Amino acid sequence: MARLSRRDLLQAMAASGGLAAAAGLGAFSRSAQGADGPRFLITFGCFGGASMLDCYMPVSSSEALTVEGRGTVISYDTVQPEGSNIRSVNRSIPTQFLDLYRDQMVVLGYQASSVNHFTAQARSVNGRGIYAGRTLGEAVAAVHGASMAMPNVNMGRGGYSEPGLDPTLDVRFRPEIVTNPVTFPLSASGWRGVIEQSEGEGLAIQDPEMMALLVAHSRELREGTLEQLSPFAKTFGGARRRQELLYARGESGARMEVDDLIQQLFFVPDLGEVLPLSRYGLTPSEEVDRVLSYLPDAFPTDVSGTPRDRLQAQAALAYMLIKSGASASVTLTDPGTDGFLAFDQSHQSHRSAQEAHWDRVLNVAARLIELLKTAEYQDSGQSLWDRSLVLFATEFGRDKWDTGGSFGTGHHLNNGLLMVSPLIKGNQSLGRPDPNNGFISGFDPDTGEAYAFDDIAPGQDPLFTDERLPPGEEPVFGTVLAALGISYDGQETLPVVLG
Amino acid sequence: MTLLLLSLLACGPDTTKPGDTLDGGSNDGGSSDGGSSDGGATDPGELPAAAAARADLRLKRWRQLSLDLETALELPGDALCLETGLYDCRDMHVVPLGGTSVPNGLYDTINTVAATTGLAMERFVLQACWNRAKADKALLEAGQPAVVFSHLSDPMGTSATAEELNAQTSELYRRLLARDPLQAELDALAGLHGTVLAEGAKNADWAVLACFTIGTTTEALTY
Repeated sequence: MARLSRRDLLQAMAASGGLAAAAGLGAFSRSAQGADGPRFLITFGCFGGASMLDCYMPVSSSEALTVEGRGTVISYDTVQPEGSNIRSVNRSIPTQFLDLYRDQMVVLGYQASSVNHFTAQARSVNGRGIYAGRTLGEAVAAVHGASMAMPNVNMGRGGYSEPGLDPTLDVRFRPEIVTNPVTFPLSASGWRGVIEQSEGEGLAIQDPEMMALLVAHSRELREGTLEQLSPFAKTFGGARRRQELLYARGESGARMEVDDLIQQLFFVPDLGEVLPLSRYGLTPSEEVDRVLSYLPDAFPTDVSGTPRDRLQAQAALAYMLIKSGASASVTLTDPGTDGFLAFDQSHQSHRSAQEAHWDRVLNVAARLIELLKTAEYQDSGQSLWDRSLVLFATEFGRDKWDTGGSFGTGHHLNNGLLMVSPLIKGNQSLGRPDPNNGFISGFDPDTGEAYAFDDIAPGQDPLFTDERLPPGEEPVFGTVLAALGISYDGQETLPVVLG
Repeated sequence: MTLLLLSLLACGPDTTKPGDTLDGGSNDGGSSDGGSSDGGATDPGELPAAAAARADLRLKRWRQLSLDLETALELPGDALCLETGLYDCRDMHVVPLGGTSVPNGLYDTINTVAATTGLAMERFVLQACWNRAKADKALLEAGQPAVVFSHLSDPMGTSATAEELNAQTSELYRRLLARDPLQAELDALAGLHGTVLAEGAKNADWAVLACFTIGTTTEALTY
């Protein structure tokens, strides 16, 4: 069989007649829009309302107000490590995370505008449409991922996975939805790994390198001839869906195949009867061992294909996407130990739900950050982490009162959120939890000085019009993008975060 | 059938008789006689297609794609496409193929063509064609007639007559697109035969590739 070089494959792909060919091979270059290369956004969608009162903005148990008939403001035994401006609940994973990343962490008060799950989730990543309706992921993809194969990958659920509303946005920057990170790489080629190698039919299409060439010939005929001359093509040549499909095949699809993402993104080894990759001519990434040393539960153990820990699997794919240069924005969502509710289990038992899921997202985020630290961005001397920002999109808050026993909580607009990145001015806690009612206050966006709810009677809530409430979706959205070097007209930011 | 109707509408009443087209382009799944003596070719001059003013096409979603391939290739749905032999493509690629995923909280279908949609469709069709070819080979070895890939006298050979190629191409067009091929399309697929055999492929390779090529045209994947 003929042995084809990478250049042969590139040429064969270009010969398929798609838009990639029209654009030339230069379209596959790694160069980013920015002069100094791309920035990466990693969003953890904290489904169900991750309450900052239960993590990095806790009220101390010694200060919490008790109101007869209402309960006690949710409070904890707290710690504030030496040198840190951030207070934490006194629990191992949050404190370890704080020790590791405090100089890159900003915790801030945040006021959601909805307590509907999907609406709040969507607004937490689209800034209530402030940037022409683009989401954070779309905005980052359009600037930093323009030359990437899948610039905006979304493993989220509900509102976290909703596309934005900007009709002018190239469809390539819309979220690419991933439901199973383990098997997703199989979507990154139209032919590789389709046909079993060991069936003994003796055909050329069973040899992957021959198959690459033969499929390229087939596609060239299809796009270059059949799609031009058929009555159907002449009748419906301008149909939008037809054009979109041709565009996806010739643009994104071609890039994925040229970059061999079907193999580059596989973070699990051949798992025999569970995932027999070699039988289908597939070789997983050479990073498999390293990825699994950081995320050991990311792979499946049975033929359901479901990873043992779905969030770890999402983190593994996120790393592979960034490392391989395929994506500039990745969104993960805690699937919950029950597979669904995650932080919203707080309805049944607030403390245990918040503990379990904060520990879970912080743990996986730390593993992902450490992986990114180990990988250099090209030959820049910088790690991938040096160019990344992790946003914990907390959806909304929870009710503020401990009513005794294994109490549950409803949804609440008032909350906080967490960013971790070398690109922001870390070691800051902006805003203050009020021990009299559990509200997290706002802060001066330039100096960071916290506003106080001192004049609000114990047990009373501040008004919606109170200017001391924390910032909402728009300035947080603008700040995240500013940290990633993205600006737009009317951008509102929190300068104290950017330093 | 929808495609057939669209084609008929596009052709106009003066060009092709509905009865003629129905006879020649039926998708009853049972045709293996090689079609007419000219391989089923339709003179392009008979089909002066006009551009549709309201070209409101839809992409076939996973269920439509699966059902159409089941009919065209006479395979059960669960034998069309299994990734790594284990994971049903109808489940694995459900979101890029226009489905929902309730376990993942995706209650609405994506209202766009995903980056992986085209590739997922190609994988689905390619494996379905391959599985049909394997099934037909097993039938031939058992002394029974092949269902779809029945027109090549020597599948493992490296030459075929124009009649064989045209008959096989016509069979695939009727099954996958519910119409006869144009002469230019027959010529194009015959040209592919020459091209891939020059690369070292065999007749059976071409047959699977022809199925893949026709089955992944936008005509086959939209309605």
